[in-house]
Amino acid sequence: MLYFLLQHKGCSFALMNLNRVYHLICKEAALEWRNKSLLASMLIYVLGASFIVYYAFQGHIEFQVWSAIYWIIILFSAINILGKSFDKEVKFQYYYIRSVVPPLEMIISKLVYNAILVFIFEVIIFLEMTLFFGIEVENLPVFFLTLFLGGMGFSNLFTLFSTITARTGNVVLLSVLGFPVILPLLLLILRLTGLSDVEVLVDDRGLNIGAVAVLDMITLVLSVVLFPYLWNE
Amino acid sequence: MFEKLSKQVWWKIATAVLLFYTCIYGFIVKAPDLPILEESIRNLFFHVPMWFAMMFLMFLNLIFSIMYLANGTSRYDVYASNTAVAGFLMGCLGIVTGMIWAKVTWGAWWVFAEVKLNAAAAAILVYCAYFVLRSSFDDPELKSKFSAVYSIFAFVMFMVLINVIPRIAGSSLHPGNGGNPGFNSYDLDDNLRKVFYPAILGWIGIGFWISTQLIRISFIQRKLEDID
Amino acid sequence: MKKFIVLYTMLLTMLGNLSAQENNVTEMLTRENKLTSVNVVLLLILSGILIYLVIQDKKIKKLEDRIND
Repeated sequence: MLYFLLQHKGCSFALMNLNRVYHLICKEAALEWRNKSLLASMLIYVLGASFIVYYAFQGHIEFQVWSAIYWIIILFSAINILGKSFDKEVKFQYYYIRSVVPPLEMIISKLVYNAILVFIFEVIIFLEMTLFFGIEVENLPVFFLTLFLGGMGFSNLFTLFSTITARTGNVVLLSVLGFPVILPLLLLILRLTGLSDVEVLVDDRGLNIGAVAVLDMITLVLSVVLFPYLWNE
Repeated sequence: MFEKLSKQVWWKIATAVLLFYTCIYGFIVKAPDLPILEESIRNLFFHVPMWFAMMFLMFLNLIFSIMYLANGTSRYDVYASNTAVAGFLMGCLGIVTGMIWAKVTWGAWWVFAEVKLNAAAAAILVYCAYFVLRSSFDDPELKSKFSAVYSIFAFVMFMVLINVIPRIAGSSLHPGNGGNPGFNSYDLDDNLRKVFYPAILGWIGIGFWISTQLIRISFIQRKLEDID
Repeated sequence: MKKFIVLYTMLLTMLGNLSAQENNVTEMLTRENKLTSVNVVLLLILSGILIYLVIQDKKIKKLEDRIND
């Protein structure tokens, strides 16, 4: 069925040029680096948010609360970062880019770039929050795996939905659409973060990682398949 | 086929008969003597089938959305949006009946420890966002396309919320989870089964009936506005 | 019929010469009574909804016919 939908739009994975995808990612990074205002503002946003939390809790929180706040900060910064991911293209060079880049390469490059960006921000927030609160995560590999999977899931969902906001110019729509849809993923991730602190529930952990990974794969496939419909409109 | 079905009478009569059967025989049938649940077990014929009806209608919504994306004919969009409305209605009813049941058996209208309840509320929220999305476009074609794409995501997340998360979380107050008496123990009770399966069909039927009416009304509206 | 039985047993309880087992019977009968009242309310709601749907069906049919002409 999904394959049919892809074929219907004249896209096929055989036509994909990995070299071009790589160049698109590089272009994206270069543009971001040249104009540092977005990165800098996001950095300040994240710093400010964790500092406010630090003051509000007066320096002490339990791991449970810590992980909840940590993921909420990530959620909001991810919405801010990813919500703008198609602004440039739609505003300035929509028809040019559409004629040069096939939609499949466009979405894959965006997804990879956004996943990396969100992951970097997650690590930054993690460093800050551990510095402030002195939290020690017991099982770091599982924690970082959670970070990676979570960032990927966020980028899959929000990148696709950011086309909707870019095309309508309605910024509020992203959070309205995004929050309910991200909720199952967030619940699973929160659980997984909680589990990375407890050594006992090893079986549970495998099941959780599997569930998050499957959800990531589903959202990835759906974003890739459905993107041409939104882009070529 | 859908058009033809919506004008036929036999399944409407069948729905009415099944629902009357559920409402009458469901109260006469002998309930198994379970502690706490007692007679409230008869809610099984209302609460659970309503969720089934919602799932059925949302599945129709998914199918019509995919058909819209594949064909681009606007009538599929009308089908999709109206089945979502009917499914949303059934979901709300499912939540309300569930809340009444929760008050009787667990002692509170809303329980945090109950994963399924909160997941169901989130699922309702997902479809709320669907209606918000539909109402925020001026261009009808853009609206249909974006909402079709969103509804595919919404269905996947709905399924994850209703069926996957409660299984993984493991601690639910619902029957069959975390040391509570399972549904299997009642399902073995043939008396209940005799009412439960017809009830599912009946509630799916009434949900479908409402959706066909909504679809026909919106086609009349479209005709009056000269869209078709 | 049922109501009379309930009333009768209630009267007996009030008179105070009931054994524990008969008390149980009263409880069961009132429970049964509650069930029937819920049942009646539900049946009323259900028939209301179904009648509404049928009327709506007729109206829609009429409108469709008028538009198609």
